[in-house]
Amino acid sequence: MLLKGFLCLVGFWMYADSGDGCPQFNLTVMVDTEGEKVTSLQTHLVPSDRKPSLVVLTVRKNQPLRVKWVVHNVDKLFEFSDVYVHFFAVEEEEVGQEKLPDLGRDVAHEGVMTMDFKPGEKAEGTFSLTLNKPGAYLIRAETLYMADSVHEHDHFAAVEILVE
Amino acid sequence: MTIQKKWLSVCVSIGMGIFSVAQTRAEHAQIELVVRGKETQKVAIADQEPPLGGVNPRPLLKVKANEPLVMQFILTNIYPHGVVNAVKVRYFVVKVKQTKQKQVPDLKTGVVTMGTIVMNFKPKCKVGARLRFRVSEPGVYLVRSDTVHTKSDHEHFSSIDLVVE
Repeated sequence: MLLKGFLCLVGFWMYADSGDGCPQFNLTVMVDTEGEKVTSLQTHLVPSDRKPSLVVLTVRKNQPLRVKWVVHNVDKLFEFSDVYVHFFAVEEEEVGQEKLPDLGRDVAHEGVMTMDFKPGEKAEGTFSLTLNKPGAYLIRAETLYMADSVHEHDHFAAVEILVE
Repeated sequence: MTIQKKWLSVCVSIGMGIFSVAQTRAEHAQIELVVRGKETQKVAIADQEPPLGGVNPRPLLKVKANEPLVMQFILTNIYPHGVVNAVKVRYFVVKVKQTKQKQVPDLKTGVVTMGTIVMNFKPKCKVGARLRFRVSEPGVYLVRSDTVHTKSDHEHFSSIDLVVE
């Protein structure tokens, strides 16, 4: 009985709070263009007190970009059901801005999918992107609504694009 | 074995065969595809291959070169018999020779925009995307969203012909 209680406690701890340094979901965003490639540095948690690290790629107007995103359940034990994965590329006011831009009519590319992630399972996607207006853009992949569950947080990875 | 038992055995075998064929031919995806121009839009509903090019008439949208366009699709997996792993969903705009062209180009040249998603399909799962694009060169283009690798004898798609003037 004591052992069962202990295992439940350990299980709940592992499921509910993994901390910023050890997310159970790894998200990666990669942007490839004309031989140059950048990759998001880490998976960030939401909510979190830590300031997200920035990866910025500077490109020309109309330079063709290829974006790849990967969502990977790296947990060895837990399956996560009905996970919403959301990815988008949208213009922002400036590189590094804290507030998420509005995902209204002007979003350049946006997608969503739902999937059960067994331990070790992943989903991935690619899309081409051409930005014809100078400015700052955010490319981000994220999980949605996990923060509302026992998991208590969501995850995201991002790369920012500066179009000159 | 009595005659009745033999007859029952034959009936069960035939029944299982029919069930198996029905299962392989079953619908497993609905794809609503929309292409929106400045003043007009077209919607396509799901079709399937084979036969090459499907059976439903393909909607046609006429737009101007460099007109801002939006492509949007929502795919709902309606296959109820378990999870299908590593399904690829593609969505793209590619130049073609003519309207109503049945053969999809190889997607190595003439691609205006393209996306892919590889995921496990659970019953009732959904996947979709919305993207803005422009076509600068007049001609005929195919806008299409489809499934690949569903381990079935057919694949689902929705498509719209885009004539850029």
